[in-house]
Amino acid sequence: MNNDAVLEGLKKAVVDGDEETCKDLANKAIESGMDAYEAIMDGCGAGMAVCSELYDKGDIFVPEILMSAEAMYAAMDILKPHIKVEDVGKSKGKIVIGVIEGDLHDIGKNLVKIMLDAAGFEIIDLGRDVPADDFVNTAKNDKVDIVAMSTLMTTTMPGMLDVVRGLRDKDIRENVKVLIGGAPVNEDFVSRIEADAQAEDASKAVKVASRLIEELRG
Amino acid sequence: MFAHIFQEKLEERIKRSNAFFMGEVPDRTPASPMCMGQAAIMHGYTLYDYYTKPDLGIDCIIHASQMLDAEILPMWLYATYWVEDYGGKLKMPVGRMAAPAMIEPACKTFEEADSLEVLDLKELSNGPTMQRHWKALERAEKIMGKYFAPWSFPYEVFIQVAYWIGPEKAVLLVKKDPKLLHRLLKKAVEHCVNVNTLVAERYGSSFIACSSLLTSNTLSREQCIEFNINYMSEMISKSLKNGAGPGIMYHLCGDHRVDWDLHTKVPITPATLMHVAYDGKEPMDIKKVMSVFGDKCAILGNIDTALMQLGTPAEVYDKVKEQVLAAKESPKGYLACNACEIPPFAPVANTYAFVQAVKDYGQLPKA
Repeated sequence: MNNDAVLEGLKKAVVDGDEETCKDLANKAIESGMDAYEAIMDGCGAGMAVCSELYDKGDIFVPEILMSAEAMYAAMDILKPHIKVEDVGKSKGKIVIGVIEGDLHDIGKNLVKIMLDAAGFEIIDLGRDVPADDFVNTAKNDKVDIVAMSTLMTTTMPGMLDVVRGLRDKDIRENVKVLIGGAPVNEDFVSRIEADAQAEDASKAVKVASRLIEELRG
Repeated sequence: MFAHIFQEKLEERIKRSNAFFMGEVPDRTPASPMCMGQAAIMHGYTLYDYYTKPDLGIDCIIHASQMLDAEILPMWLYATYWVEDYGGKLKMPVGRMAAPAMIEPACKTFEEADSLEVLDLKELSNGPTMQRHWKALERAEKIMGKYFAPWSFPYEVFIQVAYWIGPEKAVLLVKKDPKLLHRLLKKAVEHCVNVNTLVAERYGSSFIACSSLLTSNTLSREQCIEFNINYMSEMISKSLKNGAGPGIMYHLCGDHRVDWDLHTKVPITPATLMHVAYDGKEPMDIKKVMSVFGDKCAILGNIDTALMQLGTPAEVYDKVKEQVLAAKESPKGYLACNACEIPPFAPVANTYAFVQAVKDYGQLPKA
């Protein structure tokens, strides 16, 4: 099996949510001396990118995405220990992600994390019910490019404003983009709290995050 | 401390709310803002107080109804009912939390969930959720007397499975192991029927408040039918046979652009309220809701909750006016309402503006 066939196989297995085939092909990639980073990005990541497009078109829904994610992570668990030293830390950008304080609904955040992970971003996941200070301190200490926050509840939306203010107070607002999401979030709210962008769903989050990184790096 | 309840006004409001169910037309559109946790904040209590003291919660709702002179549906409940009864962990609201939230589901593995036994009526009645629910019902009965209408809250069949194994795992099972999911959904139906039956056995009837949430924009239409609509229909039919109902409220919470019209397949009684919340990020066009459900049952309005939190009183007033004028003559009735619970810390001035707009534009022609 040549490298192209392995990559194509991984891509298809991720789209199909086929965990066993993903594991099998990941092992084959390692055995054949294939570049692990390439297998992750051009095999698994490419598969999730297809899932993202299908989700965007309404051809697949959340259960299919979760199946694909399981398959992808099964392959990545095998491939990651074999990433070359020069590829470690290689990423499209560093993102701290979490659900804002007071809200424990994290399915949406987890879907966004899956998509960003698959697209090659480095993710720091703070989980749910995250205080504003934790976002701000992580942004500063880990020198992240994007702070990504979500909430399902209207009540907890003001917490996002606290994060934006916190970034400003620490004098790092100019170095960090703020991406927000969740059911009650819209463009009007982005303007009100002076965030940078919103993503309507997980599939759009990758495109928006990529654009924000480009803006940041000029 | 609460003010005196003026019984005549209370009766007037209840009669206005119930008129459509009796085949009558009230003098005006009922103003039923979904004021729940906000009622506690209005009275100087915390949400923790509201959710841990159900009798206090009922006092807050009924007195808020009086303060606003509004037909608020007097129901105390929260979306994470039954989590604790099967061993899951709940966090009561503190800080900016709007409501109790599940922090741990009952079962750690699929196998554990598969072997879980549904609580019987006695176990359910003595469990933490029903003990709170009984307190709320008893307090409401004491205040409302002959106009008291007991309610039960099975919530959603699919959500019950999510409370047993966690939301992501429940959604994942749709593809990973649909047979197991069907087994769990059958158990969840049994649980939900027990919830409704319990209240009906004690009071002779039960207004069933149920919802579609987790399946809304998560599953495809076909998956919604297979894993939600069919089970919801079975649950309601069995509950009606056991004496629950005839009142039913279908609260289609969140974004229902995929499956809202599928709810024409669920049982509809003469005392049914259909409540369709969102189409994407915007409230579902109330005229679309009327076109599908208007001749089948009364419909509840869906004024945006984000507007209640972030808008001005003038903006709220205008939106409510627009919707009331569009929907007030829906064939089986229309009650002005929000798409979901008003965010508890939303400005009370916006809730007043809501009620005022209904009063100003909700006059109905005599039948």
